Amino acid sequence: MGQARDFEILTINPRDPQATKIPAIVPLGLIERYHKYRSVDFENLRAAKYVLENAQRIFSVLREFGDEERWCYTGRPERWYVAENVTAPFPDNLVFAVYLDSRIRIYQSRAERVAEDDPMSPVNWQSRYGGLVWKSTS
Amino acid sequence: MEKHFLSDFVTGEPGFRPEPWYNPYGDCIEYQTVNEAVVADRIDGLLTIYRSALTDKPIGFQIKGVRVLLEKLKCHGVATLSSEADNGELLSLSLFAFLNVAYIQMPETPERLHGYKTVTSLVPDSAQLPLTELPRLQGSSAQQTASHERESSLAHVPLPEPLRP
Repeated sequence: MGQARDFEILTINPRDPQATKIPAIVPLGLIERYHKYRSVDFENLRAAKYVLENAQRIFSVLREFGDEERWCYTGRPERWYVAENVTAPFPDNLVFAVYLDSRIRIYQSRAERVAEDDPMSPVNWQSRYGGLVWKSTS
Repeated sequence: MEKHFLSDFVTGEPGFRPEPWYNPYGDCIEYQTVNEAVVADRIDGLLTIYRSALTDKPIGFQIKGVRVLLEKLKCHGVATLSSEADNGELLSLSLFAFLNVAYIQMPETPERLHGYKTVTSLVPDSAQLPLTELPRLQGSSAQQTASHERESSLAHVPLPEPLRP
């Protein structure tokens, strides 16, 4: 039987990347929605978890409307689900992006095409995001 | 693949349903027609096309800033692209309404027009979002406000529909 609570994944604090890691929340509503109606996205929450635990870049996100702070974490899992029950190596020309809201809740995760100048950044990152908040040195 | 780390949080078989969803965590509408991994193709600050990771064909999209778009829809007249009950109460809004109001927020460019036309072709006329699943408009429930606006003259200002197939 399911548990009526959110899931938490420890990740870098986007407001203070040098500080202790903080829990990112996977809302139960998102988990249930994905499982029931978008099973491939549900499976790819594995990739989202991997990226949050092994982030390579963190960007602040600008929205066309509203000023709520949001973030985009990027990384590259080894494999991902491309269709129901079908996994494949994660392509070199893509980066997996996980988006968090101001309450550090996941609201979206998906693949993005990589930028020409950085294989761990989404294309056009300079113009579409507020800025690079943190970059992995490992 | 090993057991899913969230398997204890869900029951039943995983599934797929190609219907629009208002994602309250991201204040966005997501619509996906095929159960495949997607690659984002950003058209502008409000619209992102979802392309299949297998075929690169467009299989869905995301519309951001839904709370603000709802306010703007209220000003343009929601009755043009909505469904209503026998008593005139608004029940849902068409995805076309959101695409239209998103489209007119920024200057027209060939790239934007192409992007919006691309996703419009994915949307069946029946694709509606129930008002009960959308965020409440400021100062009133979406349903109450929408009904009120429908009765006002504002409700009869037609939305531009350059994108309808």
